[in-house]
Amino acid sequence: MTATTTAAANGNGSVIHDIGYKPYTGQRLTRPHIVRALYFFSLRSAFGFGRGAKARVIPLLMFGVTMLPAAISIYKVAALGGDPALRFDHYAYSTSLFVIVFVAVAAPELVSRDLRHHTLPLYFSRPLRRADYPLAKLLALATAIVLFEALPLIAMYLGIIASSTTGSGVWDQTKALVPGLLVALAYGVLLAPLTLLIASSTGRRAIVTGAIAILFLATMSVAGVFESVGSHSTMTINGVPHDPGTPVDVTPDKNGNIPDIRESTTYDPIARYGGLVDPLRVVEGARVWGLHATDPSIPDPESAGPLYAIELLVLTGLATGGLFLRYRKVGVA
Amino acid sequence: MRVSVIETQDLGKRYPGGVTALAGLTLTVEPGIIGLVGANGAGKSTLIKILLGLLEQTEGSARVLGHDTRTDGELIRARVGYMPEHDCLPPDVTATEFVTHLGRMSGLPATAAKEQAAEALRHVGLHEERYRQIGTFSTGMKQRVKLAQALVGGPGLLLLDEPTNGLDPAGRDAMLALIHRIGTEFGIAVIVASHLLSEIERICDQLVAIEGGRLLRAATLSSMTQNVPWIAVEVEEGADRLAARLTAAGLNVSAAERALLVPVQSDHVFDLVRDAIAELGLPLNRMEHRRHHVEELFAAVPDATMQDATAQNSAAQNAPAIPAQPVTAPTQPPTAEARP
Repeated sequence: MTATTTAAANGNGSVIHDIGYKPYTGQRLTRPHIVRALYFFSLRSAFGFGRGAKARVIPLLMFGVTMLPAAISIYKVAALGGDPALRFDHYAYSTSLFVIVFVAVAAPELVSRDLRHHTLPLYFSRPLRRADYPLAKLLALATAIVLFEALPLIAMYLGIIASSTTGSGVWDQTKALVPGLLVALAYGVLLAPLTLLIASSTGRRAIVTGAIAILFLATMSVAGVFESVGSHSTMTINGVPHDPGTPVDVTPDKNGNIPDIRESTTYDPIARYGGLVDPLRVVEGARVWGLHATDPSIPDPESAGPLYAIELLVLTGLATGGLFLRYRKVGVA
Repeated sequence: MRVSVIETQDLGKRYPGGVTALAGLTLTVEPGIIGLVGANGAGKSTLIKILLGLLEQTEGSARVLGHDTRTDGELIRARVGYMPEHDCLPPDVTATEFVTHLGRMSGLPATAAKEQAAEALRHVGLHEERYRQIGTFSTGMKQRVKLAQALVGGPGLLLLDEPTNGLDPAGRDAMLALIHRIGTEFGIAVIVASHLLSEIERICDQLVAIEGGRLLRAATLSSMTQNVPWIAVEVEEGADRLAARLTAAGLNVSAAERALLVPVQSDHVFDLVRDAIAELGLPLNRMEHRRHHVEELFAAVPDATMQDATAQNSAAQNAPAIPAQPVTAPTQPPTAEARP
């Protein structure tokens, strides 16, 4: 096409010097590439990149806070020796408040915005198919959560092995890291579809953020109530059960021996099953059962263990299915 | 032979629950600027969604740029730019970022998407403002961003749904001029859906009118205006006598507001009219060679559905059949009737 210098007056007397339209003749990518582009775009926006600096504040702040125990652990191990402040496989559960805030902001960022501003018709009038959109969003949020959880672990791991002097120390740390990474993966796999399903129900971001926060905090406290209702502590002093009504005598006997005080907790079924209401406890329960861990952060599910693992799978499946179903029906104009 | 931009055959869409959005639509559209006219709810948006392969028809078939909408939706959508009727822009990103992202979603590689976004924004006249957040834009500028995102993928066809919605008269003129330029200089086929006939007739070279989901009429504007020239004759008094005289001479005369419209089948007609006026001794005010207004084409439409047509209605009642185009105008029973 020849370059014309059309002087297009736009009515106000201003003039646009136009060098003409050149039809695009370059490469056109196919649908899988487009899905990949949407995936990377969404992954970036989960951390607030791609828009103003304001959007980055909460995701990066939460990420920074989650990194803190790792930093402290590296310092502690290097300077004082011993174990890290937080174990790899307890890390995600212990810092779960921050990941909740992170997903409560990221999930609506990924899908509610497009609903709110009616941008979906622009996506669906392009080569993408209906399922491609939730697929890219789901993978992006899952990746974001896994990164959020795994990066502190990896940083902590690298920091600790850097100060390790023995080969066996490196091997021990590696063995400890793997369960932590599996937990990080489980968080991504479960939380992404669950929160996206909530976020895809409305375009109003504040409501979604609130709903996600309430879901996790409410189930967390309900599970906490079940735990305290179903826990029974018993104390023994020198092997003799202690009567809870009497004061504990800790004065050394005549040989100067401090009394041997032991406390043990037994759990009713309500405490062992109660964790099933809380998605985060579901992951923890599945970890304890699946990895035969002996250090649960929650009442050891024992025989209820398989239920935690099953719920993890079923909940993930249902939320994922619901999300895809949602986008099969969403209006396009 | 040129490939038709759009070909439909007995296209129909019924929603569950018995609402018929489209019925028996058979249509062939050649490249150019095509106006798709109809009142709100006439089925324009349904037609557009079927053409994009977003909605599956319940009857018939449709091809866009040679691809079947049922099976090749992806191929169609890669080459068709769509500008929705409603607001679809996020306020908190810049025009460049937004259009670039949608360029990528159209299948452009990263670098090409950036270049094409800059180009598209320049073509719609937002070159200076491209790094501003869309939320700061006026309605007219937002409409241009919507047009730019449709243009960014280098489409072979643009589907514009009510592109002048919400614009003031100056903005509307600018948008229409822009669409006209895209259709002529850029060589992109454009379909403009509008409920305002008077507006799009200025830029279209083909018109398709639908009502109640059925094709009312489809025609090329040039075929009408060139093939059937008219003269308008306005006399101070005695218009009825003149009309009678011309009718007696075998001409098909119709009355417009103050003028008589006479189809010019041959040069002989000019002589007949001149002689008739002279012989009756009528005071002649005006006699002009007249191009059709598109409204006359759709004059058969009930007033309620196309208010624009009403102004010319009187002229139209007696108007001769205008050769309408390679397309079929269905003569089927009303929409209410549901087919099994």
